[in-house]
Amino acid sequence: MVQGLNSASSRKVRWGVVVDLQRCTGCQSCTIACKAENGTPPGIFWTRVLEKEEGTYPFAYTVYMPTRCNHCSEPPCVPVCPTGASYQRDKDNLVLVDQDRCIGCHSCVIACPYQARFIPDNAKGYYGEQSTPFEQVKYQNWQVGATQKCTLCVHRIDQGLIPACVETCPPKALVFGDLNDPESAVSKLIGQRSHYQPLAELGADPNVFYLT
Amino acid sequence: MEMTQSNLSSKEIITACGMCYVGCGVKVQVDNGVVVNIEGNPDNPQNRGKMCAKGKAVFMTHYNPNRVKAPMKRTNPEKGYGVDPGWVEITWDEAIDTIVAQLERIRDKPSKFWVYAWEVIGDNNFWFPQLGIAFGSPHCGVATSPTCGKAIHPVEFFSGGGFHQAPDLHYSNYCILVGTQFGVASRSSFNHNVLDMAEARSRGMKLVVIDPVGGHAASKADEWIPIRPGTDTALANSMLHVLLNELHIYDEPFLKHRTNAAYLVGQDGLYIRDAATNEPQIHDARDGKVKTHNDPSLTDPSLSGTYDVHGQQGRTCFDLLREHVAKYSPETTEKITTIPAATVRRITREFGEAARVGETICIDGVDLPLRPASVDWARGTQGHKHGFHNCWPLKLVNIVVGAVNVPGGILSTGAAGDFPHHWWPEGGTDGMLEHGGAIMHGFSHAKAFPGRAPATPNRMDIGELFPLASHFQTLLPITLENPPAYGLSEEDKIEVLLHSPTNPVLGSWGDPKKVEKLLTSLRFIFGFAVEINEMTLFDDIVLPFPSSLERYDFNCGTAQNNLGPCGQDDFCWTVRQPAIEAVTSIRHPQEVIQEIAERLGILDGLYRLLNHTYGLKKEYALQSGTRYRVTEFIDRAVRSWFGEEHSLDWFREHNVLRHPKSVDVAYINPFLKARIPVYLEHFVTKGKQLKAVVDQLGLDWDLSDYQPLSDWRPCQSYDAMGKGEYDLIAVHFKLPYVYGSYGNENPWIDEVCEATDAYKILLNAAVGKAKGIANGDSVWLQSPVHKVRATVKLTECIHPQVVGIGGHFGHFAPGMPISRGKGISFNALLPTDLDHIDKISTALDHCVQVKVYK
Repeated sequence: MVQGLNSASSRKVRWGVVVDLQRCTGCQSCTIACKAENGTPPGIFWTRVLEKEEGTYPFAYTVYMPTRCNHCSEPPCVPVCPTGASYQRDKDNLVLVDQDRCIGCHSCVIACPYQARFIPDNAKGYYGEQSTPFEQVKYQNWQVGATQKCTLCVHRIDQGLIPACVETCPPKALVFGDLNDPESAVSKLIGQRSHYQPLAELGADPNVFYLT
Repeated sequence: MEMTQSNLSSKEIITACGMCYVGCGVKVQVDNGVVVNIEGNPDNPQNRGKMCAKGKAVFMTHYNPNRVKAPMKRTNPEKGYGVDPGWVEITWDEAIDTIVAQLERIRDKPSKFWVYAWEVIGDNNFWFPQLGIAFGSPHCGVATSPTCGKAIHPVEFFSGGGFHQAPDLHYSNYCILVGTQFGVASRSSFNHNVLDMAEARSRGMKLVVIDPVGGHAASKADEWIPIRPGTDTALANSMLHVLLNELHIYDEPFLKHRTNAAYLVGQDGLYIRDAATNEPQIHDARDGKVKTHNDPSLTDPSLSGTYDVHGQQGRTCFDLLREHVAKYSPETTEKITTIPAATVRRITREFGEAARVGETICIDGVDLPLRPASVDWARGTQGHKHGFHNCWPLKLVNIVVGAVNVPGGILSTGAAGDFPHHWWPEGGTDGMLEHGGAIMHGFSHAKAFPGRAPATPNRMDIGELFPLASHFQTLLPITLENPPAYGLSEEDKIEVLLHSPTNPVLGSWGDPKKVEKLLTSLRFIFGFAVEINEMTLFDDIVLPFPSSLERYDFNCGTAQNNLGPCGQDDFCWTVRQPAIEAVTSIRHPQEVIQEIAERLGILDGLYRLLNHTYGLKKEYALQSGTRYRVTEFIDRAVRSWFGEEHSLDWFREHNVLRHPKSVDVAYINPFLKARIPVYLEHFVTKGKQLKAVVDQLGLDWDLSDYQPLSDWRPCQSYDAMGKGEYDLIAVHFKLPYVYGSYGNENPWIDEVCEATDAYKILLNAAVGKAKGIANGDSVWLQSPVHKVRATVKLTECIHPQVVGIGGHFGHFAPGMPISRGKGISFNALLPTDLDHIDKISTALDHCVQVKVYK
């Protein structure tokens, strides 16, 4: 895979998530944990679990696939940003948005092949115009008309904590860690188990790996 | 601005989640008086830092602007679905004055008071019923749902010793789930068991799911085997036949010494008893003598053979079982269950071999039998016209290989403990397990062995006609229609109802017309409420209930009580404490109950019952003439249980008190001084006694289920399919992000339900195609009692004769604007009459014939 000169792969830390599809039960704890942590508005899910049926009766089952921003090593959403609001952190690979610089042009929303970017057009809460005290606190973290997305809980990572979705996952289907560290749990899992990166053929080098 | 969280000064409250009945340990972050985050408490061994979607969504339930925040009364005396009660806020004084006046009115006939107390999330599960019992009513209980524990508890009480069962995922290598999604999408100790299940599957345990619906559990299973609903008895008997008669895989020493398999039975189906002691007898192969089961010289009980006992030909229970199940070859039952005979043979062989009969394991220096295989079942199998016998032979599959309460097998929850006090199941009548173990006293579930003497009813729920059932309140919508039919007086009908903040209209009873008739027949209803749901619509007085973030509970869920994790995970006790103060118009229900009791002059009686239920030592017992703040009560309870140093303040700070579980507490069977049954002898006697009573009452009841060995009998839906009038059977299934109807009004959960098509009914894709029904079509779903519009999801993951309905949806109360009009209420489809009630367990049949058309 072609890597940029300053690609995330060459940085010291490359945060990633390993998703064990055999373990995921589709309980949606991660989906709601993200809501509780980040207070995203109605209709916007930084992470969610997709369901897809496979097979024919009686040999049929549902695959549960948790998705989030892949914090790609070559994020297609960053270079298309006209203002530099979308950026990748220098010290690791986290793809973040400076809400104050974002002009809401949707370029990044279109460029992201994973539908992981969202622009809320209002600040209504889940119960309508009168937002709850919880929403009043959490909605201070984003702006109407600006791109928002999974930060991999950067505020937690920077305190030495793991993302809220990973922490709560009841069957431990989600594992977080530094992909550049060969001793990390994520590196070991990728080394041991068959896996794939979502839409790897697009060349973004996503840092979420699915164990099959 | 970086999208980071501001670092406001904040406090962290360690408490217990209250979004379902489990009660996981959590840490709640409160910033400037606003709850802003919640995480699982890693120090709590029950959930080990994990939380489910429901628990994580608690803020939205707590901050629901439609919550009831003050007492209210209805101003419209007319009641019914769609009738506006005309709520007016009132003072607590007016609310309690009204309630007390209504209870004073029935003072001379206290049985006219009914307490529906399902509040397993906290202490009110005990406080509500004890108010009713102190008042003098027998109609007080928690288990009013017609599926809740109906078969599982009676079976567990006499064959396990605890409250419920669960596979031992620590050692299991082969786990069969029938009609349950244990460890994946449902059941107690959810977050604990989901992780244990994932770990077990990762290390290679084979998971087989037998269920009409290929849901979350089936999707994680190595094998999903679809079964026609209501045919589990046939499947179980086939498995028993293959094990006992074809493969000869069974645990001989276990059956001989730890069950009644060797007890001798006469022609009449009863034990041949010793003339002097009346004890059952066993043939000892060692000396060829017949002796009592407790004879000290008994060495080698004969499992097989016919023995002369004082002129009577005695046959062993084991032989009777083997002969009985021989009628159920897999080829015979294939026509009933639709499971191919070869599949039954294969999974039974796999199960039998995985059980490793005869092997042992050494844990903590103790040698124990190792049986790493189990069959688990729950809601799906017990919600049936023949619910008891639909379940019991599945338990027997475990028993015959000795896989009960030993490492790797099926374990009893909450059966035994040695901290903070000792509790343990005990033997009794006929040397059989009779007294289950429970950490709390005064738990209102009747035993199924040896059962009670049937009698002409005094109870309005005719519990006297169900001598082996654990619960009876299910029957009230049926019996209150016509009390004289059961020898009861119309004048003694129940008039006053107190209910917990739940929703039995959607979550418990069936046929909505009958439910409406029941509720409008009551003169006065008062209940606690979080939101105005379909039950609350019928209330005369509504009392606000604190959210789980606002209240105190000593007993904060089932996981620390009777439905905890199995195996050697630490015992733990947690106390629920408020993360945030409730508005002053919301009072703690325990304090309201005390005020009502004091006004009625029954406070001393209430305290006597509570002191017993909580097992409060003398110096901590509630004293007559005093009213206690909820905090004072909890402080007394924790110090009584855990010692003076463990005060409420200690629990406020530390919250979790752990204690290691010893081997004998985790795996009780080898240490149990009692046998468990393979043959239900007392069913014969109880059936005869009951027949005499129902004949006297002129009731035409089919009591054929009162038999010692299980036979499969078709339910009404099975017969209806045969007649061609209906072509589908509707069944209910659970979703991991929904618990009853508790979280339905939570907008985050609602969004998830929308995204996962949880509100749609499931129909097999090929069946839909044949009917001209496409994915997403709106259809009529019609049962014999109810017709409703539904949206179809076509799927490959369902039996072709089945319609699958998830959750407890179908809200229509105006107080629930988010969930209103979404999904359907499964229970509303159910015919609700005695013909659809299991005459053993009181379970209501949850297989219902339906048609689906555009």
